[in-house]
Amino acid sequence: MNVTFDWNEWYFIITTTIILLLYLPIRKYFSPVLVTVIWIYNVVLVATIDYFLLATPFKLYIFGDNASYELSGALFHFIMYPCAALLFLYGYDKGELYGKKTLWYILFWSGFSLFFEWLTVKNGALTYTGWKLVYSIPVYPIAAVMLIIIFRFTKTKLQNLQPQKSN
Amino acid sequence: MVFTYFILLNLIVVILFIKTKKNLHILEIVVYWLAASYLFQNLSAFCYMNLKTLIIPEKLGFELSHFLNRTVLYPVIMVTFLHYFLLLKGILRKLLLFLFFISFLAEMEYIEHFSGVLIHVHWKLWWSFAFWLGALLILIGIMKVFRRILYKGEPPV
Repeated sequence: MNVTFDWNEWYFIITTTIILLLYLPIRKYFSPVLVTVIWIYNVVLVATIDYFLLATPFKLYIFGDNASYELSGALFHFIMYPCAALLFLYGYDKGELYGKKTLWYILFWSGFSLFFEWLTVKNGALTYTGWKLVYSIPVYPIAAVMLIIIFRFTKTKLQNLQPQKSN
Repeated sequence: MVFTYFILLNLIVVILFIKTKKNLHILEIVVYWLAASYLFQNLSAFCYMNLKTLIIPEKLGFELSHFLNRTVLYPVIMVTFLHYFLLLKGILRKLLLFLFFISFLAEMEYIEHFSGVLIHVHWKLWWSFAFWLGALLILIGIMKVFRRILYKGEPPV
């Protein structure tokens, strides 16, 4: 472990703060249960994928300064990704972007996510040691579809819970 | 071979879990499963990447086995613990439940060790017991909070 507090840590802090500030105005749009499910789902999904690809035998990229588990990486997992996911779902649900609109919306977010990943690499917060940006092209649309599935599943189960509670 | 063995073990545990009539809502199962997986993955990642007290050999079958175990096997066992924790009444029964599941989870960890999937280096046995005790206590805390917001004061279904 040889962690130094340099630009990539600032990059993690700045981007996480921006996304948190963007999320705060919409924080009451979703119910606490839905936020909890989406939040924990995203934290675990990203942590699982990162650990799987970071660890042996793949060792495809490094988060931060070196191949150790850093606090800045945990901050990214815990705040950045869940807030981004909730912002994505807010646009999807509030704008009623269903059917064909969903496709365009997913394409837009995937494009933005790829740009953000490129920016993260350029700022030294993410270092490829085998991974390439092109490999991420199918990852973001799949992640977006899975997120919508989880969102709709949770919403349906919550709606079904309401009559049970009033009985 | 090792991977096949762990696929079978995970399958058996999942089938048993599905067959058990649970007093947990489906959203509870999702949340506790994810939280349980996160707890063990953090221990594994921190000890593997930083402390180097856990080693996963450079073999795809071993990495896939550990991946399967940390995302399925341990979370299923931990959610099953929560199911029985809600079911059993009385401190003594709950204490015995803790003892049983902590031993069971530590045993699973050492099955991974002896099969060469997750090798413990300079590791003390009591660390495993302490971790599983802490993880189960945290999971109970998460359950209490989540049930409060899920049922909003209403008695749990």
